[in-house]
Amino acid sequence: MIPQLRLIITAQILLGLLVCPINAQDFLDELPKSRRLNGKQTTEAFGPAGLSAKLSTVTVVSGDKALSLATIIDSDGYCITKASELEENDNFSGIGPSSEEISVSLLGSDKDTDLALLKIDPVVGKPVKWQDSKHYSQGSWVCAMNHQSNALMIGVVSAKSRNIKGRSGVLGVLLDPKDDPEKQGVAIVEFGPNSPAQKEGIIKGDLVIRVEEKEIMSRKDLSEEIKKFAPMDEVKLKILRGEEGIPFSVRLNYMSNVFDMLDRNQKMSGQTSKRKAGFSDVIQHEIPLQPVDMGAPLLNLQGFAIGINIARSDRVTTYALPYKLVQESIAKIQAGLK
Amino acid sequence: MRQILTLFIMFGVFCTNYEKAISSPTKSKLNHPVFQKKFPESPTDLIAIEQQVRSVLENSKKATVCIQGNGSGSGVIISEDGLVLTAGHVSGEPGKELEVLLQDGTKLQGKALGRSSAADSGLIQITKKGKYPFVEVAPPASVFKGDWIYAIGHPGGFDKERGLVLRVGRIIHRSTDTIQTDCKLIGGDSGGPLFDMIGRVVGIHSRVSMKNEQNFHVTVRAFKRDWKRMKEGSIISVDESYAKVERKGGFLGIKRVSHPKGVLVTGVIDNSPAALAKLRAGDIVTHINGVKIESLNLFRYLVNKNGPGDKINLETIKRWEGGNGKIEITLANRNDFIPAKPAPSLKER
Repeated sequence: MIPQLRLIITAQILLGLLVCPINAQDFLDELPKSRRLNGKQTTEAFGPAGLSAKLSTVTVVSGDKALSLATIIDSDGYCITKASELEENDNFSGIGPSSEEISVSLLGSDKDTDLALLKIDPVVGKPVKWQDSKHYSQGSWVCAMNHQSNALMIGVVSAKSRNIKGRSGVLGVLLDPKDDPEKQGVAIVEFGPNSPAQKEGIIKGDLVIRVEEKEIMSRKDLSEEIKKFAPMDEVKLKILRGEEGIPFSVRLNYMSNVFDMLDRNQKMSGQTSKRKAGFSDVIQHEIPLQPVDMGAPLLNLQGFAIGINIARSDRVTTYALPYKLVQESIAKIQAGLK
Repeated sequence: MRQILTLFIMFGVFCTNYEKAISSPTKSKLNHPVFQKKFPESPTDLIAIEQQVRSVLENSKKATVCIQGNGSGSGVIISEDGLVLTAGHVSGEPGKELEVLLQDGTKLQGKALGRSSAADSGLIQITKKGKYPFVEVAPPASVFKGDWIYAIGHPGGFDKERGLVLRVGRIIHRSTDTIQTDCKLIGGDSGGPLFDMIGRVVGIHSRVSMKNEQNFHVTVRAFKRDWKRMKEGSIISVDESYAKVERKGGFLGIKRVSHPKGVLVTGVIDNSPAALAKLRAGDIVTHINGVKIESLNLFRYLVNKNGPGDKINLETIKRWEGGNGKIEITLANRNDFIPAKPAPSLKER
């Protein structure tokens, strides 16, 4: 190789190496992960608000399994979380903001808001400071902790605050479409996924002839009776199998647990909260959280909590209960304890 | 090895300058420094983004619609007389009657115009005469990787209590037909608008990715490319519109670039069918078999779908002789002119 050429190439390599490290990421075809909306460099811009989110969030655990996050609401160690995530679990413990091991006791809960009141010991972290609905609207930046990455996640308030109508519990059965008004009972022809009726031993072809005290003559009778019950309620059924009448007691499941697998949008959303309806007021936001992240505070850019995350509804929707509703619910639970 | 490194580095230096040289025209209209930064550095920077979105959001929402007929999707009005940009899989079959809902729930009748099944772009015309709220469409290729954008739409269908749903994010990647962003999308958002920070449409929501924060939008450029034919109600199929046409081996023998009137011949290969038919550099091919040439891809498609010995009819503008010409050309065998060569292996390079 000609010496001059070699020199030029070497010079270029040196020059290149000086320029390269600074702009290395520009060569990539894609925006580096750290600069995306939920990349580290972007979320760090939240500054002190991010720290407040971290310090006021604890993790509720049963055995090795994280169940939910919880919000520290005062300096005596009271916290709130999402009640339905604790169902069918016991022996609660917790992890503090700086990985402290803490004990957690469940004091009470409110069925209307799906909030539960907890007491932690020892007292760790820092209680949240609240702001009401005057301090946000569609487009406001918000942040919350994510359990899996133990990192702050951000997004915006994405839609109008509103009431999310409740959904009753379900048996998880498909009924014979042919109603015979002369004949008593309705035949079960198929079960949905996670059907509580199937779990109790009801089989295809069984006739539902009574729900609690009500005689069932049609599909409409059956659905109207079941609609009176909430998820996790025990319902007494009378089943006719052949000539035999058999009593069953079925604990109704959440509609989401049974029918989400049949819904296209739910299927593309991955895991969502089993209770995601029946809230008298919610803030809707777009922070990409998981069901286990519910119960943590939703903070604005100023570092104030404006609500408590209560349900991951789908891949674009998370609900938080606004401050006012949270306060009323806490007061209600505390009144019940006295 | 050293040479490769040098080339790579030179390319890198070039890229850096290039990026500076063609700084997005959108950015120049945004005063706050955050829009020039690689990432926001403080709450103040984030507030600037929030305020910028707020200043244009209401206008964007007025023009964003829900489209019912092929399931539920979204769209955006871009002219006062009610022309709607949407996704091809939302507008569906050309001519189909669809319902177009404004954000207050007002129901309007719409008719599907054309669509591209390649790019997933689609057009709908609101059929009732009126003056509709509309938004500006950004010029093609006016946004870049890293630019801040926002998405709105009707995820899961129309819900008046909830209203339109906002998502804010950045452009992760951009190609000719597709913009990829970290705005979260779901069924029902399809066809909805992606906006730049000054409220101009830069994309239309098209496909979701397995990853929640990595979704796809059709570019304005893809709309522009097929614009005339979509407005006429044509379906642009995957084959025609883009790249991978299976070559049948027919060979014409011209070098060409795109031209507003068709394809401009820039060179003719010796002894090729084009040379025998006396095509010359400077001529413009306007039609093949009666089809107007609107893009290089269409030209390529119409030639490549023929085998050796097949005849095609060209309409040309003769620059040298003047006037128009119509010629029938019998295609030669591609392999006689361009020997098939093996793909270079990495080692060789």
